[in-house]
Formats: sequence, C-alpha cells, structure tokens
Amino acid sequence: MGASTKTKPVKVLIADDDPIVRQVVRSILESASPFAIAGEAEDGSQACEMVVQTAPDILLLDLLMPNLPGLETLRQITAGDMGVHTILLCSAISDRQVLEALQLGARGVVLKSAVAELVPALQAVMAGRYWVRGRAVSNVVQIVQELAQEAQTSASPAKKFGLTPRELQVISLITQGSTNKDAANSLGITEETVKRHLTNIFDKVGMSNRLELAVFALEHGLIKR
Amino acid sequence: MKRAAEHELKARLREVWMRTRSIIEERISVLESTVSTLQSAPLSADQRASGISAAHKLAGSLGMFGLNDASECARSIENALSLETPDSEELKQLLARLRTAVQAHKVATEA
Repeated sequence: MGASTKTKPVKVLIADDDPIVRQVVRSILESASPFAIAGEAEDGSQACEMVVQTAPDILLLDLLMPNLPGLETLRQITAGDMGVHTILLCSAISDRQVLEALQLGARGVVLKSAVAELVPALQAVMAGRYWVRGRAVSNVVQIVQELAQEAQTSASPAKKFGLTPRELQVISLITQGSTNKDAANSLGITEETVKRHLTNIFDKVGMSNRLELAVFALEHGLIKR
Repeated sequence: MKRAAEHELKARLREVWMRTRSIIEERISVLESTVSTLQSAPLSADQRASGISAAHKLAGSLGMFGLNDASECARSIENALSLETPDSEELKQLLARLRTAVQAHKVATEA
C-alpha cells in the first residue's frame, strides 16, 4: 500500500492561453517524477470543465486568460470543492492579487520568469504546504497577514494613481515650470506626445490644469520636493 | 545535483525555444505592424486588441526563457497599448529593445 502510494503519479492540469507556456511546463514536468500531465486548457471555462473531467491533483492556472479570468476560475473551482490544489502561474502579480488568490483557495504562486521553482512548488503543495514568494511556507495565516500589511503600507503614490515612469517624468518637468516644448526636448519626444501624456495624467489624477497638477504632485509625493 | 537539474532545465528550455521560436517571431511582427500603424493613424479596436494580446503573451513566454528585460519591455508595451492615446515613439523604442534582446538570445541559443 505504502509503495503504491509513493509511486502514484501526481496529475497536473495546465491552464494557459499561450501554447508556448504550456509546452515549457509540459516539458519540465514530463522530465520530473512523479508528475504526469492530465491535460491542457486554453481558457478559464475549459479549465473548469477539465478539472471535472480529469480530476487533477494540481491545477497550474494563468491569471489572465480569455473567457474566464484566472481568479474567477479559481473562485468557481474552489466553490465546486473539486479537491484540486491550484497554483497560479503568471507573468506578473501584485501582492493584493496574491492575497486574493490565497483567500480564494490557491496553494501557491509561481512567476513565469521563475520556472525553476515549478517542481519545488508542486512538491511543496503536494506535501501540504504553500508556495509563495519563491519559498515553501506552512503558516499561510502569517503570509496573508504580511501581504495584507504590505498592501496597505507599500503602495507608492505613483502606483496608486496608475502613473507610468514616463508620466512621472512629465509631471516632474511640468512642476519645475517647463513648457510642453521644453519637456519634449528634455525627454526626446514630440510636443504632441507630451500633450497626450498630460491628457492621460489629468485623467488619472483628476486635475484639469498644470498648476493644480503641480500642487497635487507635491502634496502626494509624486515628485521630490 | 543542483547543477544537473539546472543543466536539464536549460536543455528543456532550449528544446522548446527551437520548437516555438516562429511563434515568438510572429508575435513580434504583430507588434511591429501595430506600432507602424500607430505612427500614421489611430489603432482600430481589433488592431489594439491583437497588439495587447501579442505583448501579453510575449511578456509571459520570454520571461520563461530567461529574457527578463525583453519580458519587461513586452509588459510595458502591453500597458502602453492599453492607454487611450499610446505614445508611438515610446513603443518604438521598447520594441527595438525587445527585438535586440530576442535576437541576442537567438544567436546564443541557436549557435
């Protein structure tokens, strides 16, 4: 009984809309015992169907997919109590999304730029642990508390308003009194592009003129005093 | 043991790269066409959507092959194309950086 349990393959379902990602994951897991590919899903809806059909032990789930986004797929799978452990496999994820994923029942998060973590993450999750921020953790409550605290305190003003690095450069120049033409010369872009950046910036921060923007930037720490 | 695992991973990634490099090229071509259109006219909804999709997929797949800078460029392109008025000059620079990094990887991997 013990020996047969040890050799039983761990069935993995890969859900990602990118065939390259699926091929990389398949290739890595096929070379690593005891993993076996249960199937591949190209979107969230198909992932939900295939979890029912193939009863995998692990679902590797992309965050952004057509039809049904990753977190919504996770919500449905968790609600269905299908006995599958879900690990998010994504190219980028915010702490807030990690927190949400864990609250929705995810057992781990692996970044696509860290595929070397894939096998250790699966092993940790199969051993009843979680895999977050590149390490196995047993105490998920502690991780959730850490993430919740950081999500509250670490959001920079720029992130809060969704400003890009280029927009911050434009804000900095405008606040120093540069004209659109000066800003365009400093940044090596056209005056028209500076105007478009300003329109986007005004939309994002809810201001309507340069003076308001300068005061707002200083008050919210968007530029150094 | 760790070194053997790293070697195995590298070999697997190389093998998938060789099999899928044409898809990467196609995605870069989609972005080149998107940026080229943007320099003379606004993008249609379909053009914008296919550009965003190509950039999104490149961000994920290039990261898997260890091309982190190219992956970041793709992510920035995805974000820029999501803006109401994308900056074509900025996109052009990002795309050139992405293309250079992919080309260098090709030379190193396919030699």
